[in-house]
Amino acid sequence: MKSTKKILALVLTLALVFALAAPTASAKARAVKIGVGLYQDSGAAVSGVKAYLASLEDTLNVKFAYTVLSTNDEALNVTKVQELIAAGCDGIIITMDGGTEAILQECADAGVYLGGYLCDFDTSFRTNYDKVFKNEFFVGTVADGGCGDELKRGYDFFDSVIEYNERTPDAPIRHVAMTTFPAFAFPYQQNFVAQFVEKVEEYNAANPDKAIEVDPFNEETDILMFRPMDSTYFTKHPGIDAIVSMCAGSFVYPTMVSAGVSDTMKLFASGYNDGDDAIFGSKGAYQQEIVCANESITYPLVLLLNKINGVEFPDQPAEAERKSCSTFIINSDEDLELFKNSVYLTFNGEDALFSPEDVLNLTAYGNPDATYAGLCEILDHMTIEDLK
Amino acid sequence: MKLPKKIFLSLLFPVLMFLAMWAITAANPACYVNGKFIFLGFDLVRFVITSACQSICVALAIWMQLKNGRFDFSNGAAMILTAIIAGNVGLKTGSPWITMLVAVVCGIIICAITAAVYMLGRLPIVIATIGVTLLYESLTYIIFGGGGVSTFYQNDALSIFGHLPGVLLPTALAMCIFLFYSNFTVTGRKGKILANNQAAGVNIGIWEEANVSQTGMFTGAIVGLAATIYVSQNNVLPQSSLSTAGIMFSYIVPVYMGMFIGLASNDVIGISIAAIGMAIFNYGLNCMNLGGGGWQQIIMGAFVMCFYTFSAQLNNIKALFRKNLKKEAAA
Repeated sequence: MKSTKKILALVLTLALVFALAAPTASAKARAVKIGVGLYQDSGAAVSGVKAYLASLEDTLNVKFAYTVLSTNDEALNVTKVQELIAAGCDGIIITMDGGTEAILQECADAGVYLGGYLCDFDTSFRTNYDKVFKNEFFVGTVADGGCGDELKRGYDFFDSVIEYNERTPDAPIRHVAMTTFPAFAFPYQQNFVAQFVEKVEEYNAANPDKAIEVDPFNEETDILMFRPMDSTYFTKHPGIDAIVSMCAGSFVYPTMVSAGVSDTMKLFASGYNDGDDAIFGSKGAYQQEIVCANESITYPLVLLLNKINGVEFPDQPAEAERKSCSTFIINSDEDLELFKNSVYLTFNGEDALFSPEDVLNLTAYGNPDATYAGLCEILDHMTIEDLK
Repeated sequence: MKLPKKIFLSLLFPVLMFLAMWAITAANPACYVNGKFIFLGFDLVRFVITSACQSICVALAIWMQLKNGRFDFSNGAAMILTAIIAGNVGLKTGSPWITMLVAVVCGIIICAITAAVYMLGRLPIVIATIGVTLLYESLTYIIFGGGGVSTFYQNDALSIFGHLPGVLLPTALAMCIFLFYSNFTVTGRKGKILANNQAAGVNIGIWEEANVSQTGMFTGAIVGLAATIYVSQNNVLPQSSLSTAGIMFSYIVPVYMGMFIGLASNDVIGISIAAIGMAIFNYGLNCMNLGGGGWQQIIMGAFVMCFYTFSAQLNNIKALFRKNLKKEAAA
């Protein structure tokens, strides 16, 4: 009898131990808090990403906390991350590569994981790779478009100008000038300028009767120091038909309105601002806007959740990576109509490219068959075509 | 002082500024595009008028309180909050006139609240106004979903008061309100005594609370007109951490310069002239590609410091000249 009881106790104990030890893919993930450091605290992009993440909360058992980072104050960014850690965040997603090493140190000390969103972490990639990308607490980042040499945004701008000219043969664009942000913050925008000029020169050689004149890029005039363009821009670029703005249109359009040229001059820009639909395409000055889908945050989010839940993809790379992401290139009225149905503008999680169940199935704990390759593949399917 | 002399002294600053910037930009290769000198042109007129009109309205609001002995930190926050409210109402109604009306009414209400807090709280003006500034800034994150107002300035029909010629109307109204208050109201005239010596003014029977409340309402009207121009020219975002004080301080230069220039005429003309002169200065810097970032701040700061030093020491400079002339005459 006594031995029977002992055997039964042993069997029950072993069963309990195996039950606790066995990874259960269908077990609900523990409650997690993720901090998100965005680059601004208002606007369509912010509202859209918050709406998307809110739609994931119940299914993923995640709560999100938000803060706003600085474009030029690294100490402030470290402080903001400290605040998120103090607020109980298990993982943090940031949109700036400023003070990253110090931020990772704070995260490592607290056992918190860090990911990137809308940022290629270029400075860390080129100058501090070992301490950032090889850090076990850094899960990787997804860029706002391409990374490094994969960035061909200058070609996108050229294509949009040509598409506009084909749509409006009676009033084509024949003379453009450009603007960029400073190189210390956006080093690849100068590459975009070179790409655009390269394509224009090729086009002009093949189509001399439709040649497009590009004003030489003037570093003193054409670089916007994160302030609206000043009104002398139009005096310094007389006779232009359009502005090819590698920076956000919100830094250029107000000056166009003040100068009284918004009815006649066209604007090809990056980013999208509230109300731009009323002045886009056939309705106004904007002819191109390039936007990265809010849903690209899924990449760092899934990696963070995997880490926090103690699981990994079978094909997980040894080091963190920075990934390129396809973008919404909106350069026609038809594109805009598709874009208006995305979560970016509807602020409704049901309009997102991925449902909460889709995202759960991308995680290693939610789907034992999920792979890192599968997670990366979604980044190639965030174009206007995917909104159809 | 005779009228021609008053006019000459009043116009001296902007004329000298224009001539100086003309000479400097003419010698700068960056101010020539395809052989054409870009400083002189309609862009100069447009930039100076639209820039100066905004500065004049905000400076008048600041000066109205300052000349009554109070430095009000909340004018910037009041302007931003008013701009957000009026801008969103304007977008819904589609009328720039309703926008201006709502802005004036909101400005009056908000500044009246500030005055009430100061009077009832018996707080020093700095404490009271910083407190309401923080309150108004927090409200910008609550009203209209915390999105500010971002599309008003993009609408040509709505933003007429931000561009020529519409920008002249709210500016003219602001100047008229200021002149009316200063010269045709009892509290406006008595306010000069409060500015010189608040304690003595109260002791001789000037009722400060009447001054505070009436000044608050007139200031609110001017703030509303400033907000009308501001929302017609800018993307107005919610603010926090006393950032609106920075917005307000960016318009304070014409206040102090106008006090000096206005010695030849009156403070309204002085502030207007100072704003025009500084707008010409800024345009010249923009032409030379020094209009953004650190260089503009350095040059502007150095110029303003020299101006203030000169104006503060003018009597000593005059006395020195007279002394030297006497010595030469004696010799």
